[in-house]
Amino acid sequence: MVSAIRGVLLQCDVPTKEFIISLNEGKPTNERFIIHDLDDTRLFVQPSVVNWLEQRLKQFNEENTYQPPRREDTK
Amino acid sequence: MDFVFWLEALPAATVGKLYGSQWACQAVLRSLPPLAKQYVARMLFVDTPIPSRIIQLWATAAAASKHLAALERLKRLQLLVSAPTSSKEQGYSLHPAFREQLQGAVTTRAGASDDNAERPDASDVPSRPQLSDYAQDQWETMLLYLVGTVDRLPPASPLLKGTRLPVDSILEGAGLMAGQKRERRITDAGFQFLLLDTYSQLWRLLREYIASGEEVSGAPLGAILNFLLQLGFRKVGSAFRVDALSAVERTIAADVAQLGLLMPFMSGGNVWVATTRLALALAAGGAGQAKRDGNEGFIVVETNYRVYAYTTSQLQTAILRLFTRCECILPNLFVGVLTRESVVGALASGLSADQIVGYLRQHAHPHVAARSPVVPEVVADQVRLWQADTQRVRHDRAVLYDDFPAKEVFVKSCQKARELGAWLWEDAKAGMGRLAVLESGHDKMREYIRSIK
Repeated sequence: MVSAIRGVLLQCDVPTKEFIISLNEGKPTNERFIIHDLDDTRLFVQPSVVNWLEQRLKQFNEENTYQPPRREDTK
Repeated sequence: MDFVFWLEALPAATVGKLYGSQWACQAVLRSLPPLAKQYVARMLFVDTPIPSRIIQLWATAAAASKHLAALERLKRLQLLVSAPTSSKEQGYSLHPAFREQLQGAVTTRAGASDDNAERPDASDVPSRPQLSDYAQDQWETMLLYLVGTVDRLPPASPLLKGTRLPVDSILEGAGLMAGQKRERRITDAGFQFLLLDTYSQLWRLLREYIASGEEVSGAPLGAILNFLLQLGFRKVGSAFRVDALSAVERTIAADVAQLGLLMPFMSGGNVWVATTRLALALAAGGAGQAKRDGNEGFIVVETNYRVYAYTTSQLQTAILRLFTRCECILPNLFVGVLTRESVVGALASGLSADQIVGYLRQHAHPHVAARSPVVPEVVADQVRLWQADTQRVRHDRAVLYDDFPAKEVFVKSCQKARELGAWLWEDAKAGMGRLAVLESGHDKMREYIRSIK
């Protein structure tokens, strides 16, 4: 019997995937959202967390981007 | 979205009627891709249907995809009509009305439509710079209104009576603005609209205008379109008397004058209108239009992400502010910097990296326009990288199939998913294989898997 699971397929780069996994592991067992770890760049997750994940990823991105200060500000 | 894409979406009967006009036919021909143009020229004087197998021989195998794209385009515009040949083979011929009009255009009539004998006093006709200023003023006021920099609509000329053009409802109908009266704001689509070339912008608005005009005044679509297109085939500054027009045409003339396509003036006690270069864009066809836009470029981008724009126009400044951080404004110069912050902000409001780079390239200052690439590679790449950075994760609602009873079922399911265009991912190694498809394809997939088990 073929089984079918509904969810969301995430496709991303390897570091991003690792970050998502670490987010998943930081949660209590009953709130974990990864259904299947498909391969290096793909995850199958619960649909309910997609918006939250987007937000976290954006935040993560901002934290890890160096923004040179404006020249006027440094004076 | 321009004129031709819109035609493709119209019902066949309407389009068929439209091809009764030589202006429509010529405008359509101009906007076709080069290969499609050539096919039209080939078939123009062939009276009998051409068998499909001969059409197939027109292109070498290497060019097959372009060949198919051109044919597809022609078919969607109803230009290629399938017809059986004398030997009962499947074949195609050109749309009869279209062919007749084009044959006429090629053999007898010249392009100019300046055949009305009456002419205004030469001294009354606005000069080219006047026309061009008028067109630019009206059009820019409209765009500035869209951006929200000014609170007034482009002024309607007192010389032309008629209803005022419902700019608000047109902008809203085209999806460029949204919201209630006071809080009317530009939408994401509106931001993208600002970066388009004038030709596409014009048609986007006129499309909406024509559609709403059909509802309001009951003027048949063909009549409006025909009048507009023939404007496009006139020379800049060619004038005609307003009271010589029909009632419907007079309303249209007043409306498009407000957008800056026509400039009204008085001569010998009569009201005349003269076409501006904006009107010329109507029938110019999409490709290459941006370059010949009349407006010289004014933007210089340096490798240090500085953008220098030699402009006095509020509109240009407003557009540049969408994606650059303004450093200083001099009377004739805007200096800004592309920063990650400013670009990511623009991306968030719906622009794409390609649109930003495209805009900078399209409006390049003549001094740098000859340089290749016009926008320094490092800047263009960085803008694209910033965009890629905001889209690191792609997510699709999907269904994952597992526990296939046999390898064969898995392979067939994968094939089916690809046919449906719903295929996302497959893994042949895990057990009997795993497959992920878009949720939208789930119902069809479920039926299919049941049927082959």
